[in-house]
Amino acid sequence: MHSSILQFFDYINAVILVYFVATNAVYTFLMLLSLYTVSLHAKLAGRRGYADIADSPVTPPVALIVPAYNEEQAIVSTVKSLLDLHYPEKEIIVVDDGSTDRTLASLIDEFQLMRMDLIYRQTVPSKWPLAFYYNPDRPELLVIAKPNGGKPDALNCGINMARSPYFCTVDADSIIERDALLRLMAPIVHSAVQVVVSGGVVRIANGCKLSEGRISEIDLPKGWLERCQVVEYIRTFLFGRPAWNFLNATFIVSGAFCMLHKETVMLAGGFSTDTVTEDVDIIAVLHRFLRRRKWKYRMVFTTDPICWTEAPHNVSMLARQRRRWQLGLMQTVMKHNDLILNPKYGPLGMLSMPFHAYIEAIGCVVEALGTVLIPFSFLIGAMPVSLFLLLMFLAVGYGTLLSMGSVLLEETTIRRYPKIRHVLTLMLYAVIENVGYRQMVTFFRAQGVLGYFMGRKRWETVIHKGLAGARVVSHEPA
Amino acid sequence: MLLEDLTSLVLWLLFTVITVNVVFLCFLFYRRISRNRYYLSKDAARERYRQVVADFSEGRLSVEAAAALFQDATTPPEQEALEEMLLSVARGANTLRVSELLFALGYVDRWARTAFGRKRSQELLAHALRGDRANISLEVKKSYFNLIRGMRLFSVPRALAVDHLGRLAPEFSIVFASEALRDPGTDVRQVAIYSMGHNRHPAVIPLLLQELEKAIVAGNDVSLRTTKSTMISYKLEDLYHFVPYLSHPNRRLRFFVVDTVREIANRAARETMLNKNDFQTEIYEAFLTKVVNDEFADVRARGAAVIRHFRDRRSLQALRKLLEDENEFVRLHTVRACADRYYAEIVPDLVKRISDSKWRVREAATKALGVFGVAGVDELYKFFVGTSDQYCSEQISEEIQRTGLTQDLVAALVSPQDAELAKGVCQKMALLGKTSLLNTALLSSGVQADARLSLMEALMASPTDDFVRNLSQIAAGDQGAVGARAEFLLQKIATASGQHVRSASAGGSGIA
Repeated sequence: MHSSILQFFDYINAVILVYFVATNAVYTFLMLLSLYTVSLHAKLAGRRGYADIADSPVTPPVALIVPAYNEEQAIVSTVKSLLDLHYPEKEIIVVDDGSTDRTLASLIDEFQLMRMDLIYRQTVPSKWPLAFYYNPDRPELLVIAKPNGGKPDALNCGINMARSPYFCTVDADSIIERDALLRLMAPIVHSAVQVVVSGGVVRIANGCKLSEGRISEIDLPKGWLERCQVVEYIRTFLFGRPAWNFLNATFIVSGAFCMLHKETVMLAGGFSTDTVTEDVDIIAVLHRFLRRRKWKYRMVFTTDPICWTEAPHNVSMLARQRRRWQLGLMQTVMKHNDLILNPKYGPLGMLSMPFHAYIEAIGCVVEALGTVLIPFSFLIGAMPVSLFLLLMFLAVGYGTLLSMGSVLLEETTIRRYPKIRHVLTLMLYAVIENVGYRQMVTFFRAQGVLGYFMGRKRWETVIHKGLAGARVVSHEPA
Repeated sequence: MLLEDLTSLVLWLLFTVITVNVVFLCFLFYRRISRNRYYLSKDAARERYRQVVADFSEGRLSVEAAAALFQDATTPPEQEALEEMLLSVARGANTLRVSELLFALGYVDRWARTAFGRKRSQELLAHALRGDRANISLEVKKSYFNLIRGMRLFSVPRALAVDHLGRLAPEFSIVFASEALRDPGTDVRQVAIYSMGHNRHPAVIPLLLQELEKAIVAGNDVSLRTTKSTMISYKLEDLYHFVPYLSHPNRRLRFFVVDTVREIANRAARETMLNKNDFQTEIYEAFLTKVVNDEFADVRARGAAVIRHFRDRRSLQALRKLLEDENEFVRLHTVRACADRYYAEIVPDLVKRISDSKWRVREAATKALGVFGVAGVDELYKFFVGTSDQYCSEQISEEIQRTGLTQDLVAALVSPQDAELAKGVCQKMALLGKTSLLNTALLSSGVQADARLSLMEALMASPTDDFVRNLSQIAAGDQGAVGARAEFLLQKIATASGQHVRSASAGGSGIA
């Protein structure tokens, strides 16, 4: 009996070891690719700027679609900041998704909107709008009121009303840097093939000072939880996505700030409501749609367009957020599982999808298991000290290298944190987040995976404090 | 043994990671300190050379004298500061002098060496200084090294060097930009094309068009948009150079050329109202004879937007002809082009297009008529009242709302000349169910009592729940004629709905 238990632990430990070795190898590969691509991009973009795109009449117009559900506190400043974005031709479509607070009223009051009966052509499915609000003196802004149907439904409604060839999804509580839209458009303008998706970097705004809907002073949050998230975001956006972009295998783009080609999205059927992360799902849907038709296309991710968003302030909200993300990722990879290891989909099918399915989606369960079993096996004597040390090194130690490297890459390329104090703090948290925080998040993610297998469909509401100190409830589906 | 090895391996790995992390930390400090020093040095250089650069730009110093004074700028921050200061004063007559100074200082030589290698850069420098063009061939030389040279790791420094060279005076930069078009790196070619746009040298127009043709015919890793953006940088006086390409055998190339001319003309029109005298005769004739009759509909369509700027009898005739074109996109773009008060004579032709078989044309015609002020809007209203086409009516009602015409429409309800037409429009909007704005006007205290009375009558054409609610509100709150009328209309609606219910139940044909 005792020997069979030990054998069982040996077997489990071997699986965990293989998983950690494989994961760290992949991350190292991605890190090296990202170092190459991010630093070169920063060098060229820093020199050339974006004036050509801003001045050119060839730059395509963009519709910024802002789905809003109970965003009373943030919506006016968000719209003001969007109106102030530096971009030659844009339209801002706010879709009030059946808010129960004064979201709609505050927009009407602030921008002196009048109710109008406009033409609505439904190309992608969405609940029918109840009313349109418009001010002829502010022709860039259109507000749509519709019954609650969830974020994808609101986005589809906005797409149906958009007139521009590209649209950009923007979260109602996000803050976009003034030139970010130009930077997001740059790869579209410069690409010789049709770019259907262009994604940018999302950063955490907790701790930053706000003024008139803009970040006036960049600072770090005070709490350890938010600081760990700052490092985590930097690592994700600088060390993962640029590498997948380089391999032309982008699978995840943040829906908080992402530009898409309207006609392609419409042809692909718009955002679907069958996953809780519509932004991940739409990418897979578009890949499938375009590959099947053998159309040439690109999905790009650039590191300099920056959108600032608010991160959860406490463990309970963080848990909800991560469980939802993981549930959505699981739903998406399972929905599109025929893409995994499918050579027809090129690097996406052969590299990106297996990575996201086996390492990012399901891998967290192995990692969570490892977090519990490694110390346990060691304590009951089922694991030699050398193997224990190796596993601990792979699970914790190597992560510090990746996190420190990403902070350094941030410092050498994007440089959003002005003070040396900020960067040193980030370096410190690059070490700290690997001990405790990462394991905690792994457990939340594993809960998300379990939720998927238990048939969970709905997401959990995340309550934010609001960047201006106000309480904000994130968008939830009907 | 294995376990001992494993332990030592782990310890070594741990040691390596810690060491690398410490190196990262040290690098971070080093970088912060070196950047700080760099910018301090750059600021100091700026301060040191400010007066000399000012003297040079104002012509008080010759190129040779300035070059002698700037010889002590040897460190990268000093050179960068100087380069930025010189390029910032490189405008008008100074452009050539600044370029000569950059040659004299050896900067051009350095950039050229980075971009084209030691040997080729010497040849190009000689070409540039002689003032002739390089031996231009757009073919990328086949070489196994091109695969490596095309990698961003190697092409980005060349692209940055070409960017510097592109800022020289056009007579010099053309040599380097033309050569850069042969580079295997996409970034380098992209930068070269942009620099051609900045300099607007007519001699590079054929090169740009060849790049465009490459993109259209064979596929190019430099995007069409990039090349087109550059071509749009040219001005009206440069359009002469585009004329031969209006007869190019490739119809898509012709389209892009016409579209480029359109963008250039539109940009010029933002500053001043254009007429045919702003265009060279060759371009004027080419558009009115060749473009207007081109076999490719897209060329004709885009041509209309250029012809509108000619503003004479011939352009009027040409636009009339294009309004009747068999292709819907030609009609669409021509309708948009006609949205210009100069072409008031064309209003009847535009009115015809409101009933076009294609909705896009109808939408454009509706918008275009709005531009002609009262005359256009009256025609639009007359058509709106008279038409039975549901789609067309909805289009017009959208335009009335979006352009803010509703306020004038409500005011016109009390105007002796326009009251009937305005009331007809309001009734039609009520029948279409597009009453939100009218209902808002009905409740507005800023609207005259007579206008509100008339508006109530118009909205009675198809009373909505909102309208009934508003009437109740007015009846309750207004003690005057408006309130009394609202009360009367409410009774009328109640009676009518009662009759409707009675007749429905008597006939036994209720709607479930």
